[in-house]
Amino acid sequence: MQRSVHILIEGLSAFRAADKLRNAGITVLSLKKQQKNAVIAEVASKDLEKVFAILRGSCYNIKKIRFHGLSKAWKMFCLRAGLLAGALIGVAAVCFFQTRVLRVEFTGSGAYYAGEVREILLRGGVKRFGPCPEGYAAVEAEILSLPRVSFCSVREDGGILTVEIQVSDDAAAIAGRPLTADADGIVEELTVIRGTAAVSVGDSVHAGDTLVDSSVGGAIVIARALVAYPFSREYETNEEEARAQALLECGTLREINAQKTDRGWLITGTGVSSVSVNLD
Amino acid sequence: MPTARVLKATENAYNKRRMKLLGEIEKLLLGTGAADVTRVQYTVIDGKGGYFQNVKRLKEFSSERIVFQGKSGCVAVEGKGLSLGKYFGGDAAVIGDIARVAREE
Repeated sequence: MQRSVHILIEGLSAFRAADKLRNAGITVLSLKKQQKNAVIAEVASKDLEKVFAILRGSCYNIKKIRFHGLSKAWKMFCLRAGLLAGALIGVAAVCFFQTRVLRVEFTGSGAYYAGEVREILLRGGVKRFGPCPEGYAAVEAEILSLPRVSFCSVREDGGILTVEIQVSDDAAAIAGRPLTADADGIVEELTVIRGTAAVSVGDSVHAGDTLVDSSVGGAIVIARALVAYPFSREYETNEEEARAQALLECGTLREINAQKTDRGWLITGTGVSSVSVNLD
Repeated sequence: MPTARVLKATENAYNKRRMKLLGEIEKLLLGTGAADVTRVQYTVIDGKGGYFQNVKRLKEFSSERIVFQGKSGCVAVEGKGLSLGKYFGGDAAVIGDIARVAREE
């Protein structure tokens, strides 16, 4: 849209000035009667000097009109309506998307928990392009309950959700091996955080058998198992020391039974072996 | 739902028929088939304004009455809230509520 100016033309039959301008090849964009002997003519900005030159020697008083206040604002708005509308839409879009989650980023030594944390966030109602929740206390509590996680914080800034997860033993390398049994016995307890269980509680296993393997995709295993096995050993010492040595060897020994033998004491019972991978 | 191409084709066909009709009306009214530049010609849209051609000069101007002078004869436009839109060459646009267009000598 071309820029234009408004001119007040005063004099007798002021409207005839429009004919003068037209005859000089100037397009009059609009002509309105202002008062009895005055009209307001609108011409292109580039023609303003020519207009003053043409009407200078005539019987008309001419002056350029500048709009003030709301009139000026309205005129500017009409000239730049598209630009203002686009700016308003842009501002509205920015304000709207500030309240949305556009991306989730994971930082810290526990960033490998990204998969589990995404599921936790989904359960907490946090999803891409969804609204930002009021608080993240419940989500942080659930993330802290993950194995080895010692610190967690969830921050939202400009639509980007940053989840920082720190694990307690980050100096130790993540073991990328399956969980195997270290004794012949029966599986009493099996806890699998990540991985695929190869046995069930109550199954008989041998030393070296795989209890939990990594799932499809080669992800690391996070699991723990308790295997109960029969224990029987003879010690050439007194009963008290025999029991102590048996406990030292097994760690956990249930249903301890001591029998006197020719050489010393036979200690029997059920030992419990605890094995774990990446899980304290 | 007709496609954009079908709508465009329909619009072009309509415009061609309209131009042909206007040409026939002109021939009927003017006889020679050529445009008469001595008389003011106009098109008025009810309630909106009008477009006037072959205007030689402005004879009278107010918000209730505008008189255009052609080479032969004048045309008076009466109404409410009248103002001139574009005024260039021999063409003038009148904006406002036109109630009456009459010939004047």
